[in-house]
Amino acid sequence: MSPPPDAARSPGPPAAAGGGTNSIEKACAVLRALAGFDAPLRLIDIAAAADLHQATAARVLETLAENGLVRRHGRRRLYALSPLAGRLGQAGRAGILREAAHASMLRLSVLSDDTAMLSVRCGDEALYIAHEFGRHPIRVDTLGIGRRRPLGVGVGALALLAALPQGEAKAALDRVEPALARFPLLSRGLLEREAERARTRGHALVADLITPGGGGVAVAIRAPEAGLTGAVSVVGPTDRILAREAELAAMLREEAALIRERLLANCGLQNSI
Amino acid sequence: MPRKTSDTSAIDKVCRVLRRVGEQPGDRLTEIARDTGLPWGTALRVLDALTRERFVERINPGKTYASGPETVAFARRASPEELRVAAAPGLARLARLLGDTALLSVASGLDALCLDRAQGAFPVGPVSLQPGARRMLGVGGGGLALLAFAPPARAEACLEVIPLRLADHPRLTLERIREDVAAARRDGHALAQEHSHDRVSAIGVPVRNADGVTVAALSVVSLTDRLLSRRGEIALALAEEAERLGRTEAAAGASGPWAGPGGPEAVAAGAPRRHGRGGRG
Repeated sequence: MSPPPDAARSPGPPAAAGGGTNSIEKACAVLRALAGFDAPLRLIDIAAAADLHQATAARVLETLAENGLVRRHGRRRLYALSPLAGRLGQAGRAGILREAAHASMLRLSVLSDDTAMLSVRCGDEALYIAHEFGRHPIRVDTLGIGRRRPLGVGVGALALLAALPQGEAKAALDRVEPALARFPLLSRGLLEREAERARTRGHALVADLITPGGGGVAVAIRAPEAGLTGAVSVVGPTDRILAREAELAAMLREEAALIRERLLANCGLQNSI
Repeated sequence: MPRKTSDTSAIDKVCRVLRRVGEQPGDRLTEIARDTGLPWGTALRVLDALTRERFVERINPGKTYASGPETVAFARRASPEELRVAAAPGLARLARLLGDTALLSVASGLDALCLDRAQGAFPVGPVSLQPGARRMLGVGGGGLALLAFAPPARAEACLEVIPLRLADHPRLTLERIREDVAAARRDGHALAQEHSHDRVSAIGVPVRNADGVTVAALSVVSLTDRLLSRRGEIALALAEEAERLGRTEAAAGASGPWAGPGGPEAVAAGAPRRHGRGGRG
């Protein structure tokens, strides 16, 4: 079976047949295209990102706007998500995780001077939900909020893969493997070895694998009580990361434990460890 | 107006379910179906499709629903570029009216980022921040207003980390910043009295949009005696301009401080521009 053309974006099983389901997918594709951008987007760009005809995208946007989830901006055909849409995620578990992690993210960016990132496992993908930037003048490009990578691809995504029980990690790699073709330096065997090393060390390390010159250290936040697994990472120039691997790993472990504690408290759960 | 096709009606249902789940998380299918006016089977089908897309997720062993992880990325800040354009006339008016320098800033991580300024005509005055310059939240008129009028949980998170950066601000302590924050919340405007230099102080106010979200701060910096003797007048002028800016399209879309694209200062560092009647060149 050949992989779907955009396997990285739509990992779920094929939608059930039945009227309207396809419309639901269109609505989700448009919402996803708008997510993570502060500036309003043009219809033509939204249609391209959602892989829809412009007329279809316009119709979906109008309906979303009538329901208060999308705002039209100005006289031009610009659209953005509404404040109402922006608040939807706050009460979900990933939203609670982001709030619980805020102080930790700021602290990591100040102490490391590099970029702190927060991701959450979302099926077979890592979804990036927050970042804070340090002051070091050399910064490695990182994924924006709302962007995603297959499990294992990226340092946070590798920590998430390594946090899975071995059987589940293998099954996830079976599904993710076709998407690895887009990353020339990666292979299934490499990800298996790196995940194993991450399990042994207690933190994931990536150097020059995805972005030449860039690397990172990540630690998983395991919170099965809250029904989620996240990862917190520090990403920066490879030499800076490698020179401080142990220090960053210790820092990240401490913050991951604190985030877990606050997450459980915010979910109304006791920290059982 | 769009035609009412089957697409449109299906998307209507999606919107109703998404909003209902996000606004009252932790409810069951029966309650969601009742409140959205959808037949039980339709509500279940929509919830299942949204769960596959991870816009919704099942919690509490599968019985109840909440917003899924994808919806976290729906949050938007106000676009700095749009804010700067929308704020320029107001900054110019403040500088002209008060004779002092007026600034626009936004929160960016643990910093207040200066987006723009307009210099007043009064001949003796402090050298203010340049557009693109950053200073820790809690410091200066804009930074203090942004901290004091941020959502409380977010302000507390910043206050937890601020001590790590206090070495850069020898005149300030955490206690002093907490006191200034409390005073700002009480007064409705932030007074940053000689935070960085003798004889230089600032007043800042939050720019809130119609949803009550603080999207930016406007501030005026001046000599302490000049500022304090006109504190009421300056606070009022700032509040008027902040209200005006809060009603603009640039401020309207923001749902809060979260989210944002690749980098924090992608838009910030324009060349300094002058407004009003010249400056202190």
